[in-house]
Amino acid sequence: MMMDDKESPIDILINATKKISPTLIYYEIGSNFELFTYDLIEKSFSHFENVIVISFYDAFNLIYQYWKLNINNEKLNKIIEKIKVISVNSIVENELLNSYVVSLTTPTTLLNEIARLADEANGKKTLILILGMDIYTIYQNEETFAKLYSLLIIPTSKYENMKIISAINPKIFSQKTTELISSYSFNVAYLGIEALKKEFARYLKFLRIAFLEYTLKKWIYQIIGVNLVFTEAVP
Amino acid sequence: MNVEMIIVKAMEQALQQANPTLLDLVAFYLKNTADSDLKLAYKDPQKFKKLMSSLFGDYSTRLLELIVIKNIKENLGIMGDFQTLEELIEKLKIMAGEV
Repeated sequence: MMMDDKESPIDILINATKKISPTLIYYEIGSNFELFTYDLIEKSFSHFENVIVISFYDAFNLIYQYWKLNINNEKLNKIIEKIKVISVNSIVENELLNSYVVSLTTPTTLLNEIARLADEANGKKTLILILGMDIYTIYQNEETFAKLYSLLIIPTSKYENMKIISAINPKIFSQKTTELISSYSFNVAYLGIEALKKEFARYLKFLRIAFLEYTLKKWIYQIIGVNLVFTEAVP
Repeated sequence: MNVEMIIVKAMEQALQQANPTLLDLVAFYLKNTADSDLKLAYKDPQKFKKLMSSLFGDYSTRLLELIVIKNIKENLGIMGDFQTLEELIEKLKIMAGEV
């Protein structure tokens, strides 16, 4: 399947995820992951009937607060109303969002909830977006994270109608853990920030993607208003 | 024990860990918006976090805060459940006899 050259890299990433998942997004501090996530979710509704966010330690709420400050209410409510949130080990999300709160005493609790949602979806195309596993790792440790990640990703990948995107900040993990989680993913995208001449530039690069022609392809993106504007990077 | 220096060094270390490019960016931003530097994280952590949120967003700011807390706890061997930079600074001040 060839992609249209004019398609945004976010569309390419969603299409790749539709084709095969899990997808992993690495993001660096400063990459404006919040607006990227907004675009990703908004565009996902053209491809998926359900979007479920699994949020560890109020990660989704942190992003939501940023959205509330920066995105027009009417525009924001259109997607917020449609998102289902499973809040894991939440402190505030249960009060702020129409979410289902799970206390993660064991991964089984979460897997049972995913299985219930898979039944409820009844074959409808569903995107699962996992946020805050980096925060989870800081609260717990890398070993616990690695176990949970595999326990979460492997069984969830087996639901044919469910596709998974998880997002983490790679800089808090050891190389060993980064390689381990990367090995579970068919698509890997990197959102970073770099010094370009005398300015700072945000970029998106596909480290691995289902559409081979886009492997290692890189875009610079600017934030104009609340929109991400991508320009293909010159190699 | 100099609590201000501990916080500044931990913040530098966290930013360095996140992306060395960020150190210059944060220094420039703090100078231009608050006529300050990383010492603001110690002097007025709430204001510092607010400025970081406007620069990086709430998610990245929270991640940065948690990395700083974790690094200081590990480096100094401090026990306790600190959710915020403010809580940690209070604890460090007590340890240093500043309060």
